Amino acid sequence: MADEQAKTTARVKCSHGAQLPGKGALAGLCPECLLEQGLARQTTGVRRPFIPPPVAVLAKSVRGVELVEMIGHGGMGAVYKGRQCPLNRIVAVKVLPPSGADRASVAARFEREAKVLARLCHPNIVAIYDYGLAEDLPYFTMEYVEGVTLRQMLKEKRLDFQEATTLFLQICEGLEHAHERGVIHRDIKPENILVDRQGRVKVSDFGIARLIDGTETGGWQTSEDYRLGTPHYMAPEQLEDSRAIDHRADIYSSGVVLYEMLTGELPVGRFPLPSEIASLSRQFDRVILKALQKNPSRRFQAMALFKLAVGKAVNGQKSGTAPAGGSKSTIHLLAKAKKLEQIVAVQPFDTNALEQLKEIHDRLENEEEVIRISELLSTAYLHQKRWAAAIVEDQKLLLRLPKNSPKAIEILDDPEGLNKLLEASAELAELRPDDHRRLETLKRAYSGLNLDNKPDRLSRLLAQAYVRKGKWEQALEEYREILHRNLLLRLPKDSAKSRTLPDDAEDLDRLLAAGEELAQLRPDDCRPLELLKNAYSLLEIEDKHDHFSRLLAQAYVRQEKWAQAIKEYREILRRHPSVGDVAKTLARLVARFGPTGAATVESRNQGPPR
Amino acid sequence: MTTLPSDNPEGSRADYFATTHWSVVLRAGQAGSPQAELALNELCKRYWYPLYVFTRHQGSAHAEAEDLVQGFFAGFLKKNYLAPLRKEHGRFRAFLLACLKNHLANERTWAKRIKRGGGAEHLPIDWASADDKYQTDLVHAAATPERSFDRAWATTLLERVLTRLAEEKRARGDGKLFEVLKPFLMVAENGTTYGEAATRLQMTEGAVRVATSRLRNRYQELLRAEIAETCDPTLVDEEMRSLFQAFSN
Repeated sequence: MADEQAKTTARVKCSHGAQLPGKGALAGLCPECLLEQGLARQTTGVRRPFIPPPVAVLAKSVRGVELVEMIGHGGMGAVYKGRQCPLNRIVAVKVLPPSGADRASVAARFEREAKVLARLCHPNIVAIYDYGLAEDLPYFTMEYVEGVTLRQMLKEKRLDFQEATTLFLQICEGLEHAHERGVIHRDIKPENILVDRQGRVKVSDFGIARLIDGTETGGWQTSEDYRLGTPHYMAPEQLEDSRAIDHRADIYSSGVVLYEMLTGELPVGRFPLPSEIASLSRQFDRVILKALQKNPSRRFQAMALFKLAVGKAVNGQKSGTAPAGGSKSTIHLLAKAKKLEQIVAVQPFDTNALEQLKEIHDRLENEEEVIRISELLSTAYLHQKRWAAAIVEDQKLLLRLPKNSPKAIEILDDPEGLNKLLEASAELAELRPDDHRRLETLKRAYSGLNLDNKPDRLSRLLAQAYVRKGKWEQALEEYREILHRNLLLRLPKDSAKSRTLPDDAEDLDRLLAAGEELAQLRPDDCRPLELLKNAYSLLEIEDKHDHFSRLLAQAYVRQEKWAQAIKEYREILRRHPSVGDVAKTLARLVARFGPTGAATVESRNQGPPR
Repeated sequence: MTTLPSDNPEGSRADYFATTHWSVVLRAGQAGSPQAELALNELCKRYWYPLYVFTRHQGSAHAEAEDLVQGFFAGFLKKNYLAPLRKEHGRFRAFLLACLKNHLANERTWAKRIKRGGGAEHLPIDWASADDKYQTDLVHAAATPERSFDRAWATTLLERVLTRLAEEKRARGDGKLFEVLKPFLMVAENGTTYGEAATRLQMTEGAVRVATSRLRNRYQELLRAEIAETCDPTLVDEEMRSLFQAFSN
């Protein structure tokens, strides 16, 4: 060893040109380089190794739980087994490492996160029962899962195809549920995926990553086994800035997990295609590569879509070896589907029936049946607020595509697939223009998927639906939203070419027309006028800008809002100094109410100027 | 000699709740406390060498420097040096150097040096190796005594971190892995490639990269933890940067 060390020392040359220490712990190493390495990844908090407190220390501090033993610990905290007293049920208690931040902000933040996590309720997610602080350490009381982690499974043996895909689809289910509720896992890796004795997947440690990372107000400390996202499972954007990620980072990480489950290897560097190292169809290559795209917008945009694609690839792989079921089983399926349909139609919240129906649905071939059940499923999903799933069903419904048809696969595999899907949904919305509830849910679904401009089209439809129903407030909100998105954000104020809006000029025109319609219907409502005025100002359409400025000023006068009226007239006059009547009106107003309209209160009784 | 806090990883209650040594000292402040004394003792035990380097760089020979530093510690640990300690003294390094300078100035003013450390507590310092180390070290090449003090501080700190890291890896049976991958802790080219390391370790290159990444992560954690022992936890980054700058020309 000494010889070897000497050899290393002799060869080491440091770019700092420093003379390197010859012996001791620093032998052959350049201190400057080492410090630079320390600075290489800046982190906010202090990182100390976490030493889990022994059971005796925590014994009395975890609410309602008698701790039995510590069952594991890592940098991310320690897990204890315990008994929940009144129920006598076995629970797991996860204690997080201490935080560097002050107690109050830690507690507040932890509580906020815990409440979000507690909302997750899904058979494939480890349930959270309670949370609190034990000896100043945050803890969760949660479902005790008797089983192993996926990591342990992978270490033991190579999973066969059936095992791997069955488990993976369950991971998707759990993540889909969480994403629909706005919870991102942030640290998907085999260590965080538990598999119980029945082979059921339980995804654990949701959002703990963020709690521990603590980039906001100071967070928990970490140590060796825990590093924010294990680099290999982390999406590229997460490595850059772990704060600025969305659910698509989880999609990337799950892609890595799927790759590892199917091939036994990690997709690092220039990795081989899955089909090159395992007996898999090329379809898996496409699916996995799509999940592992560097650019999040080129990945699957929702877990539901990833799951769907994996499901298809699984079916494809299987049908390659075994022939599809005969007609007898189809009849049986249809009979079962009928029964389930009835249940789901009456009880859309019966998740069990819904899932069964969905499963049958995926196996049906007859177009008519598929479409009918799609519609039913879609409605049920909307009831359950499972937006992404609802959109998928909507898409199927609209495109009238039986599953597994080449066309459907093409759409989903295509990077533009989601776009088409969204357009399809919007068409659906157009088919039922007055179903504003559906529009609303769809719009929220798009917002939830973080697709920048997609909600616009729906917003517009929604606004129109509101106008027809006479729901002005809501309609206005929608218009405001669209205008805000389209104009105030997108156009620089001094943009000369803003007149020629590239793609959606037509949409915008219609939109503004609708706004004007609204303004006509409600001449005293200043908000649409304000919006229109600002919009035309940004578009540099002067006559319209002036027109609405005037209408606005008049509306202010009618409402006796003198200050605003004066301001508005001043603005018009500044743009057109020679307009006589405006100058006169302004002069009258100023004479009566002072230059700022501040004299309003005293002059109120005298009424508006003649 | 009083017993020093152990590095027992199992940890007593104090280990995981208590914060770093310097913060214990700071918190004790004027009042002082047995814990603060222990913590201070531990810190001095760790960082005596930079003081020695500073003294040497100011022109003292080995024996004289030994006397001066030992004398300084005797007084430092006995007297209540912490009395004027204020919150601004966020860094032990700066504080210690200021105290040492003060001590050296006093010694010179008095011209005669009392027999240092007579009957007082002695820190268990390996003086025999100090001179040898000083001669071979690169730290004394610095322009000023202050800089060499900082450099010695940095190397002492890094030595501790690397020793801990090595021990940890050895305990896990990864001793050889550590020796081979150690050069990769430097940011500069280290003359070895992942491929070569992989061959020596009989691992795949991918596995070597993974192991290196883990090693770097752990190194960074230990480094930060070690620095945090000597300063206000919010100043870790700043402290690391100033130590880094002590090397730049």
